Amino acid sequence: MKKSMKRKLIFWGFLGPSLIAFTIVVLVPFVVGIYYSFTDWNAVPGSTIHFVGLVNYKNVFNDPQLIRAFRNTFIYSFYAVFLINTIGFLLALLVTQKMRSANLLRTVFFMPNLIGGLILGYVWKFLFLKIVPNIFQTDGNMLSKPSTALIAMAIVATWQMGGYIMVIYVAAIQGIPSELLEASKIDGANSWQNIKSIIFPLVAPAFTVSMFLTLRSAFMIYDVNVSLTNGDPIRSTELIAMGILSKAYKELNFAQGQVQAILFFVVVASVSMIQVYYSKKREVEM
Amino acid sequence: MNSGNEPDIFNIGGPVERDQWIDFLEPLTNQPWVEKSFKGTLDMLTIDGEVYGQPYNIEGYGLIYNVDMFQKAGINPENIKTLSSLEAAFAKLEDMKDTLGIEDVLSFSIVDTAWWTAAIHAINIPFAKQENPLEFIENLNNMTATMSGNDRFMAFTNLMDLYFKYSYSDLMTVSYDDQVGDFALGKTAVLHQGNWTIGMLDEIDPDLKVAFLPHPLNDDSSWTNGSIPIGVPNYWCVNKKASEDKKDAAKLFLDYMASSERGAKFLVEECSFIPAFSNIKLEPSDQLAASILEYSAKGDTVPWVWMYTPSGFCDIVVKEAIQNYYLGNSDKKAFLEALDKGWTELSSK
Repeated sequence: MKKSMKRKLIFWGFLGPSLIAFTIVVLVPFVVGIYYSFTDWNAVPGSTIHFVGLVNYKNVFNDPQLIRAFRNTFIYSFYAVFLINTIGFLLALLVTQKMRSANLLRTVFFMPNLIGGLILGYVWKFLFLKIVPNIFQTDGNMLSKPSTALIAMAIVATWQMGGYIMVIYVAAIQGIPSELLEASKIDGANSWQNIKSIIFPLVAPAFTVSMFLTLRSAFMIYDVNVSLTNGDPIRSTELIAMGILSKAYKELNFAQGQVQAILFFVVVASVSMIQVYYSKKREVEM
Repeated sequence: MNSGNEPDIFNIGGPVERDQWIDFLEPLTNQPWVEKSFKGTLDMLTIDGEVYGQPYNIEGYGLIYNVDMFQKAGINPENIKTLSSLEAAFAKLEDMKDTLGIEDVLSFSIVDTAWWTAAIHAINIPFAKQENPLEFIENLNNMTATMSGNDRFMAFTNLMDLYFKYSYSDLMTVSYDDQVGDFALGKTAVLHQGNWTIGMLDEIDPDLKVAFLPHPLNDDSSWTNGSIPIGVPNYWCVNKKASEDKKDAAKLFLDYMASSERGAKFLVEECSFIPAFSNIKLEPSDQLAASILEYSAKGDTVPWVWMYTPSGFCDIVVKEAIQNYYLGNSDKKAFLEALDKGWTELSSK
């Protein structure tokens, strides 16, 4: 009896503070937000809030800019997921080779992940605008054209997240039994065959994890978006998160922005749920 | 405001915000500084004769030109009151690029940290030069007027063409720092900006001699082509829901800023403001402020009208439309139609 009381106390003692914080800053605003999405709320305190039913939800699907933002986000996510995973995997291969600088390189590649996206965006903006054109001796730059601006953003995201994903791949590669690699070496496999037939299939679980991690971060990106392009040119790089803020704070259409945020939540939650489902399934198989 | 810890003094940008926050605005009509405010500076925060805000200051913008370069090029700025004379001046500067040591004629921007140069300040010109700007806005709101087909807006596209032609080869990446910095460093001869840039200009080149040119829309002398837009960027308001003694203190403070000598000194010298009150006799401390006062003494001013546009019109609709027009994705007709469409959508919600 006494022991179970103590256990309960410890349990709530640890859980309590974060549960309270979570309730105050996540749960309550979330529920209030859902309520606001059915009203004509305009963020002025004291003004009467009218219940308008599903009007906002109807409008949201007639908003061409939201559809554009979703399309941009999908395109960007495609670039980002592809680049981050490719680079991350290549870096992982590099730093698992037997060389002296492997540990140092791991740290170096991981470091950009420790810098905030906002700062990264400003640094890279400078690079894209002033340095890159100078190196390649061109007048053009990637940020001024709609077709390349999203790729530029994906490059920055790769620089930031590539090292993080690399760590996941490194762990997976190191988990490969060395006898398998030795056996293939004895059979006369060259390094490409080695990668293709041994390493690649065996890091597949890590690939699933990284895939969803990058997909989710690509969907939710906001900081790099603001500092690198801020939606320019012609709103072609305005991704969903930024679109929601435009709706709410520029058009002062808070209720409509709230509906978009809920829609956004549903999409991101679905992606995350699929991720959890697949990772769990893999774990069982292994 | 939403934090639950409401301020006693807060700022309101213009009539759209005024209407939104009207429940919080304490009437200030019987304050001593109201009588001393310059004509027109209180209009935006006045409803039925009741004044709700104190103007921060007066600001103005136009085409800031490098006086020495114009002299060297033999251009008399006094004569630039029409679109064709402006074009002639730009063409001459373009021809003399090497002699003057400039890279481009005009520092303009439509993106980045200076997007408002085009999407707020430039777009204000065709609004402000309507015969009756506020009536025009009213008509836009009740859908009896459109921007496409309007003579001022048609002329405005010509002015934009002129800017695009004589400004940077790629306008899509020009930040505020590029824009103002290039002008201060003598890389450009003309800058589309306002008197708030004086701090940065002085910092880079204290000897720079500058003044304002107007933005003419055409050659018609009946249009206010020789004028520059002048307005009040922000107003101080007192929170109606604060306690009585706090409200009294807030009013006293606002009056102190406007009426006392120290307040005046602070506004003029510390902030480089042009005060909106006639009792302040201090001479403006910088050339751009002096140039603005020159225009306003002659009555060559038009108002700032963008405060009357629906929320999101400038920073979303106009910005995108101008960028599309610049990139050649839309022609003049489509450009103005995009503005109309955006206006209708935003004002009807």
